[in-house]
Amino acid sequence: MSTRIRVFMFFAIGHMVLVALGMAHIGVLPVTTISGKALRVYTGVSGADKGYGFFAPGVRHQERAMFLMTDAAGKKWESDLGFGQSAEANLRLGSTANVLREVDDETAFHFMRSMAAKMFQRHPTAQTIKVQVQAYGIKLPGASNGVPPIDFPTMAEFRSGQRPQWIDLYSLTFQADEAGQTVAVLDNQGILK
Amino acid sequence: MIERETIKRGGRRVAAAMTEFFTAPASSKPLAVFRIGLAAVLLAQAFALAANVTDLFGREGLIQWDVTYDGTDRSAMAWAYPHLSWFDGLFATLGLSETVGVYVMFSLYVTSLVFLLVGFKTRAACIATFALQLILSNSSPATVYGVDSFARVSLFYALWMPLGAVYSIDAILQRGGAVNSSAARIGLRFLQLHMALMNLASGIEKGMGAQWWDGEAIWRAVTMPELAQYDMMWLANYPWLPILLGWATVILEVSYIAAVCNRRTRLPIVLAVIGMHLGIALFLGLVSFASLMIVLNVSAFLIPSEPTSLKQTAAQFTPQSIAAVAA
Repeated sequence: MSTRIRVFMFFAIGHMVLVALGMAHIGVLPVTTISGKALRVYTGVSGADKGYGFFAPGVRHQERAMFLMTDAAGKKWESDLGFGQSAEANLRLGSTANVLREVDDETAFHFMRSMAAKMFQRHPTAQTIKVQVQAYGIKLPGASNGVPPIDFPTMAEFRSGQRPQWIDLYSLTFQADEAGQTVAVLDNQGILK
Repeated sequence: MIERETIKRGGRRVAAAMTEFFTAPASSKPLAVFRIGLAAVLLAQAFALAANVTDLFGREGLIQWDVTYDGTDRSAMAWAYPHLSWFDGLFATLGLSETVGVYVMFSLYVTSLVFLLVGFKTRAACIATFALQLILSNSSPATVYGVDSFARVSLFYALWMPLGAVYSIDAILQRGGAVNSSAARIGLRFLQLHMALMNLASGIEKGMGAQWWDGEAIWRAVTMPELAQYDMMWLANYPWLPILLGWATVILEVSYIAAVCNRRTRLPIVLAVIGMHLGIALFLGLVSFASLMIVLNVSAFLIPSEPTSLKQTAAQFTPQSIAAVAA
């Protein structure tokens, strides 16, 4: 085996160890260290940090963003994120709403502001846009902070007559300022999630 | 007591077997199929996204650059992840608006994929495709999903593999490298290893959730509005079917690593996994994802990798190649 092959094999095996650790969601070094940062960059760029738990350990209920536009005359109309020109584009655009539950309130606010800005581009006559986040499921017993947990019905629940529906979770209303930037009008007492 | 010499001999045998396993020359055909399949799937995906390029990747896209660049948990290390906003200055220097600049980057990505598909300047095409896929997906992190992860991983491996040795313009021009090589064997082995580990990890993670054992995961996936292709609500009346499919999925993925190691079980397990991905395409509409997974499975395990003679390979191509062998 040539030296070149030996060196290549050494790095390839090291890479595969990182892949296995990434799959197991095990971080090797803290990202506060230089070597930890370098490793984080390497695994991020190479894809070695990817987990493969697709739909695991379970499939979560779906969330979506709906947009309620109101023009100067008070006319209202609705739209969603299904403005892609292909199924692949719509899958990507629609899935952004699912990211909202993964991030903190501040990031969620910026995502919703950004979505509203896109909708102002698509609906230039709109004066205000309400971004309403909804979950597809049924309300379950028990509540935390007055908000009932929501989940997709099990097969048994479905057989007993319970049907999933879109349930409002939280919303923000935006209006365009003179510079064309979106301005949030908090209509939820500052609590998003 | 085992003698030291016996241990040394055993160690040498293991090392020799490992060397043979990882470096014995292999045909480049499986890697050529990997290259063609990967490029074809990513090209089809790019065409499907072409009409919404600015919505997905533009500064004023659905999720704007100021959110994707500074609003994620990677913000502290954003410098390490190339983003379209890095090219603002370049676009301005070239007199391009940001929108045109984004289209130029996307067009370069498509062009590099075409080069990769036909195997022209294969190595350079591979590097360009990898870099541009990285930039585009980093600029649109809220819209990426499984297929993008696999594209990233596949393109990273592609950087190191001899992909242009056969079935390529580079091969016709006799600059694609050796048809049979240790590099091809190493590339193929690590692709196989990644596929096997990935299936194991996926199966274990699924198996840790109750939903895969009681059928609820299948029920939810095929009825979720985002993914559902047909009205599958009737499944609730036949719970045995999603339970069976859930168990089959977990068992299939967990046993994949062992089954592909055995010549007799390799074909059945890979065909079963391909069947599973056809089901994902058909019932969940994840066509790009399923297509890429099928390409990876076929190229890693179903294309014979036994070295072929140069004469055999050349006979499939040009008169020049045949002449070279004859000479």
